[in-house]
Amino acid sequence: GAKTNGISGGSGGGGGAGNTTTYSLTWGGATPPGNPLTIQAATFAQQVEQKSNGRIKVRDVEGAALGAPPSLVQQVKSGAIQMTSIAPQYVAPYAKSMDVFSLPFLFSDDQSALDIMRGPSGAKVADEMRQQSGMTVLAWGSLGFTQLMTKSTPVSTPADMKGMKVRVLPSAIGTQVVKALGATPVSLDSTELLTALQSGTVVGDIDPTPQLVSFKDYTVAKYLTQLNLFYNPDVVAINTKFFQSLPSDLQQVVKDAAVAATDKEVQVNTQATEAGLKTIKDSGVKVTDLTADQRAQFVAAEQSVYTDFAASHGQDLLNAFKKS
Amino acid sequence: MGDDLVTTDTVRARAPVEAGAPEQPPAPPTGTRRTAYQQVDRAINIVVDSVLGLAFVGELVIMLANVIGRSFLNHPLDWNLEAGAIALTVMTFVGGARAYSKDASIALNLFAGKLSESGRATLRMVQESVVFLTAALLCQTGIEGAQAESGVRTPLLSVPQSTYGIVLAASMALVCLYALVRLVSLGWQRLVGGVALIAVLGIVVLSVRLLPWTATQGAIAMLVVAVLLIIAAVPLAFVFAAAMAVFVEFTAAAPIVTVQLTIQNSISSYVLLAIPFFIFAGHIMGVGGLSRKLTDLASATVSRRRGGLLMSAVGAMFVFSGVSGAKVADIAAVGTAMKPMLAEEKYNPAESVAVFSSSAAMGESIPPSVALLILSSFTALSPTKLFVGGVLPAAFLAVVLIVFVRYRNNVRNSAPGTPVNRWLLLVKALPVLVIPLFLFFGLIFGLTTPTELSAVAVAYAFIASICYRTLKPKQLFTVFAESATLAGMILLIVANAGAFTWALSFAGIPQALASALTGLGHPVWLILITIVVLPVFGSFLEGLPALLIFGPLLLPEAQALGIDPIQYSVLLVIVLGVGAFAPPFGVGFLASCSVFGVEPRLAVTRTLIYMGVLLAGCLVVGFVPQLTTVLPTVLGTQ
Ligand code: NA
Ligand code: NA
Repeated sequence: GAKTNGISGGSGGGGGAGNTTTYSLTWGGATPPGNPLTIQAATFAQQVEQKSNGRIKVRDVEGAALGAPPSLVQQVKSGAIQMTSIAPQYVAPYAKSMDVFSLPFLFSDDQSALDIMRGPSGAKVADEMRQQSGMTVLAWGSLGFTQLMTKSTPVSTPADMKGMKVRVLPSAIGTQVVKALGATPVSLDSTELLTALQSGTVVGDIDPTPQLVSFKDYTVAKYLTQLNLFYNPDVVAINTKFFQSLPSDLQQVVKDAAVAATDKEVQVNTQATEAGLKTIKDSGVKVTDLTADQRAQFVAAEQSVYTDFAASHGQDLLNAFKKS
Repeated sequence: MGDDLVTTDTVRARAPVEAGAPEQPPAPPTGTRRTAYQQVDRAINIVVDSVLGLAFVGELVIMLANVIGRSFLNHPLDWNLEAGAIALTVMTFVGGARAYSKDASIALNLFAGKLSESGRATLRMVQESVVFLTAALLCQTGIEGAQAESGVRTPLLSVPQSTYGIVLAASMALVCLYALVRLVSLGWQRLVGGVALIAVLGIVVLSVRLLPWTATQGAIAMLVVAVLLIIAAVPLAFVFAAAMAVFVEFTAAAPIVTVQLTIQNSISSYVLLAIPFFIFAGHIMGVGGLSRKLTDLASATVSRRRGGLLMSAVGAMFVFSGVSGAKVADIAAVGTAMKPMLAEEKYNPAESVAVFSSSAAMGESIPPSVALLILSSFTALSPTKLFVGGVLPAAFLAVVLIVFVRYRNNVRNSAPGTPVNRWLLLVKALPVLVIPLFLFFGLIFGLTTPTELSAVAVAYAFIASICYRTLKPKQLFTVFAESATLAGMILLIVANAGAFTWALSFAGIPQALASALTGLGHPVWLILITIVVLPVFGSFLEGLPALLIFGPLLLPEAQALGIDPIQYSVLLVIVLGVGAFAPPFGVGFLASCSVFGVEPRLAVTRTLIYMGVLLAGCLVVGFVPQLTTVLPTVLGTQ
């Protein structure tokens, strides 16, 4: 029942537009063919054109041809393009509560994560985003959990990570999370990651399983810890002004297509994660699954992160998500 | 310094910056009192140079501190990417404006020398008017970009995100001022003409928004405008921006702030920081006499052969491509260091542009190659296998180029060297020769990333020059100013070309072309089309966009037709590299011209000939799969 995504778009505007008006909608993406997000965009485009009887023409430009993720968010915000599907971290500069998804060990598994995001907690964050950023969330999807690949030492407790140079995407919380585990966060451009792993500039990388495969970490790193450290939602965002300029029947078409495309994306990503794990295992990488006790040790190590987050973003926001 | 803005010579050809010759004496003092213009000009330039110096030295210190902190103290800086983005923005826009103030922008001077003095003045009037209008628009879009980001701060350093827009706006306001002063210096008739032209063009562009065109019509208008402006010898950085603005205005498809967003996006890659640093390192080596040691050695050995120095340039580019991941940075480093020697041996600089441009394209598949890494990231191909596979095709193309250089060039050094002083020269040149090795081992042992290598190279060149006692403190400032100008000129083109690419992609032009290329049905056709057609696209879509558009479309097609994917990947990366370095639009070609101080129009034919030879060599890469696959097979690469 993914029909009730955390949607909070207004339904006003576009009053006088008759059935003959056509709309042009550009969706910008930064992923290559076959990627779950690319498939999501294509599914959306096809559904919208069909269900709107051609009244909305979708221009889907993928492969970062219109820009990298931070720029795509700015472009949706300004109205240069109308839609994108993006990690909440890129939206967070314009909607602070999106920072909540940068917290470690926020969700225990994919299904409960989707349920929480698509329920009242997700709606609360989406509502703030609409008010603060000029962008509206149409659907919540999932790119799964980030895992840890290490070059030459296995990791099953925070103690194993002491002093380890780990590549993490640069963000205030991401850096703090890695430090709390006793490791040293290193920020690197993804194009420099593999060379850095080969040479030992970093000895660990935190990324979702499909990326660990596409960045080719597993060709160098020997160990995978199924840490489920960060959860990676994706937000289907639309320019609010554009959305409200659509007649209400077309708003519904766009909403429904976003939800259907996102269901498809989650399905593809789940398959990609399973296939990726198989590729990693088949290449001889040793995989560690954490016991409940080991996971508790990691969560305990992050206590300071939650405390700081509650201080800067409010206990309410933390409570809305961190129930488990 | 100081006399750049106001020139006594009112009408002059746009001369590319004298990159490698900072030793030339400064303009002699006029002896007369300074005009108000000159005083204002001097004050502005001091401020601009200080800002550039701060960005340059600050980023250098940060990068080196990060290397040392991470490698030796286990305490890296987590905000290095943020600081790098800000420094790069300053180097691009402030540096680009400074280059413009020195009249050092890159333009295609098709009519230079063919026009009367009055004709040249009129052309100059058109150029300055277009630059004024474009810069004014960029200024506006910068302000809008800053407003859109108000209240937003970067996550780690808490720098206001509006900084990016403000830097663009301030730099372009400066360009407007320079353009206006030049219009004034053309005399009152052309000033009036220029102002009228600005008004007419402005009104046309702004009013077309009321009757929006389709994206396809907009793209055609954009291309037509680009061609017209190129013919009028408007600086290329401004041609790209003006054409993009025309697209946005004509189609009304996006707000004008899109120009700033897309320009900023195209310089968001951290790797671009290697460009200013490798240029600076090359200049220090030149002025500090380090290149001189290499010249002496080269003269005594290789250059006694016909075309020897240029042949060794191909070899040096091959070695250097094994150090850096960025094509333009390769040219900046090796080209700047070798420029004085080539001049001394009377090589035609246009020939050097051709050789360096083609060598850079050849080096595209040599590891560490950013292009191959990106390609491996969206395919199931192992990057190690791609890297190993890329070595032999590049080596083969290097040999092809060396043979062709020898065939074409008769230059040889007359001074014979004796075995004794050759050894002595080798010892003297050792500190220079070890630089690539030094950088290479830095990479192998994990001390630095490819981008950081460029900062290490600056530090090394600086220390070595001090040890040789050849670099005077006074010269250092000149060297810095020259480097910042050259880097700003190149980076501004890269930035604005990104905006141009956005408009093309928005109109779906590259995607349509790419899908037309698929479904050819036979491997021979696909390889031939790849070699003949893709360089053309590569020349418009420098870098990542071309690879991201064509790679995913053509690789599965190649595999379906039974072509080895590693072989096709290597071929694709090289031909797109040829495009990026091909005249007249390729950013790499224009960068080479500025490194060698050659007017692009003088090097177009020669470079095209060399690129033709390179593409002929690519036929072998395309039709002899063993050239690519033998090394990974023999070494058992996974
Ligand atoms: Na290279
Ligand atoms: Na390389």
